[in-house]
Amino acid sequence: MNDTFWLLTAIIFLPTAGAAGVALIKKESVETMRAFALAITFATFLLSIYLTWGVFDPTDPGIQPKAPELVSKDAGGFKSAEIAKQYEQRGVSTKWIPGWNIEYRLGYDGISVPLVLLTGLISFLGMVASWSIQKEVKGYLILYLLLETGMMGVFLALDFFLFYVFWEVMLLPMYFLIGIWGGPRREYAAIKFFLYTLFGSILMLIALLMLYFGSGGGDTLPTFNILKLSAIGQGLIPDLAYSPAVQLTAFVLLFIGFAIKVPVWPFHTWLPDAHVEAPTPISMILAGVLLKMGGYGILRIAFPICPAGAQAACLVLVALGVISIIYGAFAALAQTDFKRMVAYSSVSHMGYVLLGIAVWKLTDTGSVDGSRFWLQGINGAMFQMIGHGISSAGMFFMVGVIYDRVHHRDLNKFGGLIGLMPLYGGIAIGLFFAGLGLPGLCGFIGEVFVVLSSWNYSPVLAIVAASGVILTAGYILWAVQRVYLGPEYKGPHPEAITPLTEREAFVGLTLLAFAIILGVFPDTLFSKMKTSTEQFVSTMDAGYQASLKPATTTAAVEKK
Amino acid sequence: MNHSPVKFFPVSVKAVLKKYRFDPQNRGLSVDLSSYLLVGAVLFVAGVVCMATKRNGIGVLMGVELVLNGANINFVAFANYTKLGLDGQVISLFVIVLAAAEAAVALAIALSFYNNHLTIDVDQANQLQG
Amino acid sequence: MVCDMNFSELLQRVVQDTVGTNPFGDLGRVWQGQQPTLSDGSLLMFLPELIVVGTILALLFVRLFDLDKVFSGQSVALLGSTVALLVAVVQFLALKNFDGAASDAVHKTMFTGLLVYDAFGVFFKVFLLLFLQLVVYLTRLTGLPDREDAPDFYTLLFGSTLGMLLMISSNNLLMVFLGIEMTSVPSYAMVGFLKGRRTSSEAAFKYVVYGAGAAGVMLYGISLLAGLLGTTNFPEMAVRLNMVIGTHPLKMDATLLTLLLSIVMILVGFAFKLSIFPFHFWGPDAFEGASTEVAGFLSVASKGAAFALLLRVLLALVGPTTEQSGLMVPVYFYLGIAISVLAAVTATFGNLAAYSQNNIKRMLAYSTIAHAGYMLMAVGAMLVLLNATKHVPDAQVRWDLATRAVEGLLFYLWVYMLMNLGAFAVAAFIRNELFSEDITDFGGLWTQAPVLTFAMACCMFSLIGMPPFGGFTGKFMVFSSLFQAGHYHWAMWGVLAIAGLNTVFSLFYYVRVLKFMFIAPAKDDARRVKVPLTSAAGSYVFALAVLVLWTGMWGAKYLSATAHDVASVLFP
Repeated sequence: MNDTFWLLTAIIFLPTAGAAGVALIKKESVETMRAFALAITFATFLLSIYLTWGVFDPTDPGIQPKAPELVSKDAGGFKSAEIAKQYEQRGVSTKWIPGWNIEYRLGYDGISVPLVLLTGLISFLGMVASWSIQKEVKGYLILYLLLETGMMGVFLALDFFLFYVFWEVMLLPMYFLIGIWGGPRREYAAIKFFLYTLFGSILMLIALLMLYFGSGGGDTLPTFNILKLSAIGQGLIPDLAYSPAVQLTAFVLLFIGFAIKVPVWPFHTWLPDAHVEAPTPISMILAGVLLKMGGYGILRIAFPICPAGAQAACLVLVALGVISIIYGAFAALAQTDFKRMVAYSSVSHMGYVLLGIAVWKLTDTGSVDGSRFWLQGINGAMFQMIGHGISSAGMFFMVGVIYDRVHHRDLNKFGGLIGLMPLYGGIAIGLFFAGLGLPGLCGFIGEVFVVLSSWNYSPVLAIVAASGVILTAGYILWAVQRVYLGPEYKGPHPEAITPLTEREAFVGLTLLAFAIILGVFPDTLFSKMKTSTEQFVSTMDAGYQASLKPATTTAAVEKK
Repeated sequence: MNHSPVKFFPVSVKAVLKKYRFDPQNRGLSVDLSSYLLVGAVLFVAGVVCMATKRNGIGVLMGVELVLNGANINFVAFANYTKLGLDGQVISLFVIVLAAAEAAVALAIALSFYNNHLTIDVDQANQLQG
Repeated sequence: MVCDMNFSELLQRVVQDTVGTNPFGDLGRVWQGQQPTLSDGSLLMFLPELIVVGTILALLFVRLFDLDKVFSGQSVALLGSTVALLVAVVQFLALKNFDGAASDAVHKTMFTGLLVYDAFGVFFKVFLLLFLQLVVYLTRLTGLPDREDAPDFYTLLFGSTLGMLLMISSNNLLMVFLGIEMTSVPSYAMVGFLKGRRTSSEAAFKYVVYGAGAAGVMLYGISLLAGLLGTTNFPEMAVRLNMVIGTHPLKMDATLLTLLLSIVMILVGFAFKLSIFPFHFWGPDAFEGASTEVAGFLSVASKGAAFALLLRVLLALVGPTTEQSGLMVPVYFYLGIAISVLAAVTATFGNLAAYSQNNIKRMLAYSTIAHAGYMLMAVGAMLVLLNATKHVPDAQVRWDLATRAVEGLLFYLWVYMLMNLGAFAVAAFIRNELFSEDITDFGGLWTQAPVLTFAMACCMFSLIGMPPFGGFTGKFMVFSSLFQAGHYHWAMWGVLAIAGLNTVFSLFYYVRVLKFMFIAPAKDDARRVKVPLTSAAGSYVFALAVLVLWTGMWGAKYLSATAHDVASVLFP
């Protein structure tokens, strides 16, 4: 228990405390409640900024903080003290359920810190955008804040059990937020979202049991510590390992659980419904943060714990990524509903994330072929996650702004908005171009890195993936043309089209600013995650090689 | 010897019938444990059949009593012939008392059912379904 | 049997067994400056039950002498259950602390071996008495029995609980039957307590007919088992069984057949009490006809007691060391698998049947069936783990694994008590306000009575098995036992997969309740519901909801540790 422990705990549970605070405010004082909730999300955002620039050390590739009292000589069951330093003795923790060796263990590294920052930002901006919510504001704010707790917890948890708990905790408020404040088909969308995710979670739970009971042998208690599990998966602990068959099974179960969240074709069908029916701020959160949890889970859990399984499944993953890119783009092209189009664009963009993560190529002899290309893919995937978080949240917000005014989303019934609302039109076109992947904006770097890295894996797939970029340009430009350009507005309620309010302008401009900063200075982000992704790639390679050697291994798993 | 056919009844029916055969030398019936068990089993089966086929609520409850008494005969017989000893008789006493209590409650409930439905036909209990 | 003993000597020993060497027990001993040795007289160990009996008598006197003007039946009941609970808690704490010091205190018998006094039994005593207390308080809030009927109702409630208290400390086949009957007979009457209602009398009639039939079958099974083994005493059963079976190679002869028949008949009785498929049909009918409070009581208390008794009977058959049951080991191993498969079928059936229900009590009845299925999986897993001698020769490892399975079951039962009672309580309060138990009438409740809907949401999510509620932790523990058992037979992994799928199925009907409460609008002609947090009803359900949350978060630590300690008492 030290300062970092309390800092991380505060990032996670400050919103919960805020929710309790909102519950105490009288139902009538709506504005007070909103202001209070906004202050809480802002404070959380500030804490995440402090974490990123004040506490986080980008030169250390491993999980931070290193528990100083533990960085010691003793190898603690690992092959060497060096390895132990890398895995076991990191993060901050306290016992939760000692009988089952379940810990409340938190930590961060270059992979999770950008996502924590993104969560803080999007939650704050989403709360600003929540002024458009008029119905049952109190319940909305409470659930919104609880949702933020769940999201922060997922990105900071280092205990698999704890991770699972936060993963599900995020689900509960989401059901209500879509179900109560959503659009006309909200019941259907909410239950579909819930059902898909719960199904994935159950698969994850079974994988959790497999990995947990495989991690103890003889006198050692099994553990949920993700770092320890990774070390076992990568063959760094003598006498304890997951056999390739176990790894593949666990990987498939975990991957389906995460793929539903990403979402990867063919598990994506919940997404258009949920995004379209959700209220605008929740759509921002869904697209901006929730989808990233899937990618994060693959990077943090599925790959490191099951390197052999991941390697065996890489081709399938790449294929699914490419299919998602193309399928999402075509589906977006076919939409007439503005929000649905943006939703399908998320499927397409998240395909790049999966593609970038999975371009892990081996030579015929089994050694890694071009690990720097894979590193480039991982970096691109990470960048794409952040970039998409900003651009898609922005796009959903832009759709929401116009929907609040004219109450329809039919792409064919817009037009000429840039003349009627010049500021809105400018911000929106900027954000849509960020989504398109225009150089100089945040969408470009991620896509380029991923496509370049996939060339090494398979030129054919790279060409297909690159054609996705063209399709993306197609549907976004077409949408921009139909909505913002053109001679005049053709739809209903033309009288309701009023300029942006200050609040809306603030949200839009902030997102646009981040899109431009990331596009022009990508190194602000890369510098944070570079060392971590480098270590990720090198340990994965080593881990895969180690887990192939049957050595002393399988016996321990069989015995349990 | 290992290939002896599987017997599906704990008591060989043939053996029991043989025991009850009129024996001119002995001028009597030799009664042993299996005979009592047979009576108990007959009562049990009769009770189960009664529970399964009677449509009248009281009839079903009578079937229950038969089953309980079948078990009681078993207990008393075991008390006499096995190491169970007095325990068996004590249990059967308890069972008699419990059966009486259960019958009292069951009849009261049957009466309440009759008051509400004007019948004690179990087939008329069909309001709660699904 | 001790035969070389004259009558007065025998009498003296019985008296000493009953009241102990010091009639005031440990209190007296401490008073005299001696070390406390844990109560060695049966009466003192039996104190919680005696208080329950005393309360029943007091209630009857209240009725007899028309004292309800002075002491209402409710206050007498509340007082009695509180005192009994406190005594049980003291007993539990004492036992827990004494475990290490005095190893003979782990299993003490009461009343010449008819009942057993151990941490497991006392743990369940606390469980049942706490639940009784909560139910009494709930009926007081909902006003289920009016002032005149209160003594009658609470007599039945306490009588049923007394039967359960006997069930959980049974050490003898006689007590098994006695306990089950003492539990059942008052509950038949409680189901039919709403005298004028057609549905209530029908429910009671069905319950009594099926219940009596199942009890009869069970008794017949007990008679066969007792005769075969020549004993009704649990600790001797496994040894005798070994003598009967172990003398010749295991083959399908009359002895084995009788034995299996008797075990199956006894299990039928349990299956009925636990509403396990295909003996579940009474459950939904009885619950729908009974009042909500009674349904809540039956769904938790009788299940908990029956699970405790089932564990005791099964462990008595298996014996303290698996080696004692010798040749029966494979039989028990496959019995465990059969029980788990049956449990999976039960859970699936309960979840599927609950879909189409509109009556909240009937829906919760099917949910009870499903949860009995989940819990039975833990029992099956325990049997498999305990008898996997072929795969795990080390007995200590097997006991550890089995302890985990029982720990999961105990944890699940505790959480189940809280969440199920919460759901029934909310249903009862809504019934009092809306005069409806139809889920479709719950529209728009959350804007009117947020605390009720919050509690319902917590309970429903917990029943689904979502973290951070206790239901998840319980399910996780049961699932992990199934997973472990799967290492020894693949069928257990199949059961685990079905259990996982069931969790997903169950989402639909639990969330349907929430959908009506939160998403659907209120009906135009519906009454307004006003249950603020500050009202007694509001704080009652709120407290239950917080407890459900607590068992999933901080409380999991204490509850799982306690459950582990208690479960380890069952194994040497």
